[in-house]
Amino acid sequence: MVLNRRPSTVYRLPFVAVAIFAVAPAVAQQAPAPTAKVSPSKDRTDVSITVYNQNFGLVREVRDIDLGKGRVALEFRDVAAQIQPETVSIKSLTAQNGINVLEQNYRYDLLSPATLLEKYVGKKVKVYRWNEKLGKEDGFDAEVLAVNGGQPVMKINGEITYGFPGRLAFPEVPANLIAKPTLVWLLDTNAGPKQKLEVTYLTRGFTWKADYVLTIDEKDTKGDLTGWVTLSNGTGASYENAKLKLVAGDVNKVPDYSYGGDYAPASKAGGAGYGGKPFKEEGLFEYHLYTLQKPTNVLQNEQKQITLLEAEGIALNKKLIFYGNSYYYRGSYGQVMSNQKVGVYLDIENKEGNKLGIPLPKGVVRVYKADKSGAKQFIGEDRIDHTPRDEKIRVKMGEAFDIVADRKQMSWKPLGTCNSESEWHISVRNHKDTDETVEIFEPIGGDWEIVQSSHPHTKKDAHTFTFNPKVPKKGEVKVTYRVRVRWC
Amino acid sequence: MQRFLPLLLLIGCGTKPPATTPSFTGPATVKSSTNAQREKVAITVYNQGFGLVREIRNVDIGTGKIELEYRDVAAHVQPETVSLKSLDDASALTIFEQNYRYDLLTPAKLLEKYVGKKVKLYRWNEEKNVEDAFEAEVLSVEGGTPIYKINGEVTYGFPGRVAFPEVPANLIAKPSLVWLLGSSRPKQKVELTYLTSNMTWKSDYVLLIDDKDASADLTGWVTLDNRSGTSFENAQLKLVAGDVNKVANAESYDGFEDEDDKKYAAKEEAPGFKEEGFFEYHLYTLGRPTSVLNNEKKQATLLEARGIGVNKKMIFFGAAHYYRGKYGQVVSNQKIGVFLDIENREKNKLGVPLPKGVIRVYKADKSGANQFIGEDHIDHTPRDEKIRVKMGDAFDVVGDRKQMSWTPFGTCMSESDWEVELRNHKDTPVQIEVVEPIGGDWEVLKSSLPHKKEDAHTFTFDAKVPARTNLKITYRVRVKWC
Repeated sequence: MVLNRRPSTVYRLPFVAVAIFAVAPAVAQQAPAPTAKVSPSKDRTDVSITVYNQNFGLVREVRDIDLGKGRVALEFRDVAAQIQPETVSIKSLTAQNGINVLEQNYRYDLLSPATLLEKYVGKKVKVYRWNEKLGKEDGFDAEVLAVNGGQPVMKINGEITYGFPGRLAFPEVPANLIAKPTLVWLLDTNAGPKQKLEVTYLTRGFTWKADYVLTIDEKDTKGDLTGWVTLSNGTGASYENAKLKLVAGDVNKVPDYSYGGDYAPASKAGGAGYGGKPFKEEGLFEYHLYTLQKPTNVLQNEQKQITLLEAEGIALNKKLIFYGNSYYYRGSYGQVMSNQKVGVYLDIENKEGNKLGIPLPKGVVRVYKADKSGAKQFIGEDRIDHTPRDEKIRVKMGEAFDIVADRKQMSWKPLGTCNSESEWHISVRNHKDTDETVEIFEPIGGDWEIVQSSHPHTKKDAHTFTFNPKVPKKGEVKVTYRVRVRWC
Repeated sequence: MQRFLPLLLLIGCGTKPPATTPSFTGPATVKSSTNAQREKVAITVYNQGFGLVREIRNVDIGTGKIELEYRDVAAHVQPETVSLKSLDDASALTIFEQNYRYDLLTPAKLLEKYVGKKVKLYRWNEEKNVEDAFEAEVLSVEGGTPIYKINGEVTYGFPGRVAFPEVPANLIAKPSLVWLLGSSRPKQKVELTYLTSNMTWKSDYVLLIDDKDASADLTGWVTLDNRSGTSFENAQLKLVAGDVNKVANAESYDGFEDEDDKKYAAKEEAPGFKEEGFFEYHLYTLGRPTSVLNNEKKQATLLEARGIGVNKKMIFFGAAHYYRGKYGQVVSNQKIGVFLDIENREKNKLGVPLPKGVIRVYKADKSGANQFIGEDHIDHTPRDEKIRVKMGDAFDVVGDRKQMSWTPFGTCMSESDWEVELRNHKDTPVQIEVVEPIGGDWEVLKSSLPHKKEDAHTFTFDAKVPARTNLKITYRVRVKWC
């Protein structure tokens, strides 16, 4: 622990002390200038991080700091560069009411060549020019007259000039210019000199998402699911031995005006907990909280993956779906589209009876299947949203290669401006060596009625009906139906 | 604050009537004043990104006709709002002119002013290791490249640097305020007021709710952001909360004088800040001087309240257009919003004006660590009003809305059947409000739960969904929307 303790009496005016220590003083006649203290990350005894799906995190640090007594200006170093300063809060764990926060300041008037020059307008600097012949630098006294537009205008040897070759040298760092954005508290403390201070803040730059690996069996009926947490830290700070927690849920976060722009699209997620797994899950408000059981290092610019959940022998339901479209019924078409694709989906019930039944944070599910040589091959991926237990997940795998279908309008008869009766033939062809059931999904608008059909139809809701023909291997099924629709 | 308000009026009206003093003729003596002479500074910051600065300086300007250059004002000063007066004796200082100069010294300006004049050009001589000097005349700087006449020849692209004998008059280093004054007292205490932009404040609230989501502790912080280009040390700080109208040309501040010192019965007096009603706004005064540095965000506590009752609500929103067309499943797995309602009343241990800002909500997890659970904007909220904070969307409670039938009657009337399914996957029962905005002339023909008409175009269902249960609400509605 390093304390930068310097008596303020060295400085004539309180605001000089402010300048050098970036410390807010009280007025001289009211209270003595505060004692300046500095706390670097070495003082840190404990740190925990809670990362959210929305590209931010909550950091909680405990540091041992020798505060002394009275009014203290505490400079708190090594916080995340992407900190949201307005969310910082400090309290003493040693003495509940031991410290009284008068002010909390976040300073970002940063030392740079431009700000340095700016502060030296009207003042003397030195300009050094390299002398090739003599092999040394020649020094010139100069006065900075103005720096408008970036280029300094200087007075050298009684002449006004600019573009002088060489480099500038300044006698000292001007007051209030600091190297890094810095948090400074003005505190009144009456507790013991050594205190445990807890500081919490929100920072941008943390993200986590869930990645699932689903390995399915030969028959496409069972699968093993592994969920991974992928955590990345772009906050600008490293946290060693951190207690890591993740919150899964759509937490409301208002856009920030001063930074903005670094909202990641929502593809992050977190995991569910099984006994003996790295993460333990609990409910938090209307979300889920996952606590990593062991401390971990979360370093700057690091991506970390940790297992979230594992489940074996989950039942899957592979579905082949042929989609229609409601506008088909409103006009006259011939063959709507030849060789239309039949989509392949996996439906998974997130139920305990299905060896799952846990909250699944949003993320990407990648599905693999072993080929005949036993090597696992990638067969598709899809995004899932936050899925509570007892809900269903549908993963779009792709389009079937060997099953194709087409749809033909065999007749179309308008009845007024927005009524029609039409007849349709759907041909589904299975070129595989196994039988398959294909769901024909027909969205249809308005007020409708199936006048006749070759296969029984199911009414799903106000504007959808389906057929579920079984298509024999290397065979074809023709579904014909006649429908009357009124759409306005 | 009151003291300088009339002054602002004066700015609007023009300059002060000149006092009759002798010897204000002839050339003006040039004087300057910097912040080393600043005795006191007070700033009042508004929500709309501006601040009012009032500072008192002890200037030593001598007597007679004075041109006073006043340095170290905020870089973003609005020059038309500046006003200067003497505090010792108003008649000892006469203002003839107030100027804001911003003809800045830059290389380009310098060259421009030297067109037709002599300059020196220096070229480095490698061999001799000296700079060779050339006399040159600047002929033109059109197009950015200066054209010189050197040794009787006209040239451009001369390698080397240019040197000028002096800074031309009226080119200045930084934008400056310059007054032409008549002074009859050498040392004076003057007061300067002006408005500056790039200074703002907002509130940040921390709401810590208990494990039952029923009561909470609220801490309000003021976050002040100074990007005005100037640091104000040991300043007296005031904040005005309210939607103050601001036009490009800030003139009539007459309203501000209507000062009504009635104190609000703030339940817990803000440590540090004292609140008072002020015109139709609220004014907060920090009880001690503070330093507001350039590029600094400063926070101080505004209010604290413990044990506030909060009401957690789950709301499943519909949309009016659903009733005007044919839909099947409107949106699958629609999110159910989670909100916290807080009554800003005295009997709810609050009842204080809450300036607008962001409210951040925290809750302790099982290990006792406070976790962030959502944030939302709140507007300026007077006492006895209600705050609704959107927390997020529920993870374990989801809803579906399906149109089961749709029958049109003509072009803008329909009858439809709906099924709303609410699925609670939690181990505790939840109460969900299903809010159905619906336009036009409507009637719920039948429904499985009693509906409540909230207003002309909203009805709601209050549904209690037991633990791990699905609840279906069905209803039939007739709508005429034109």
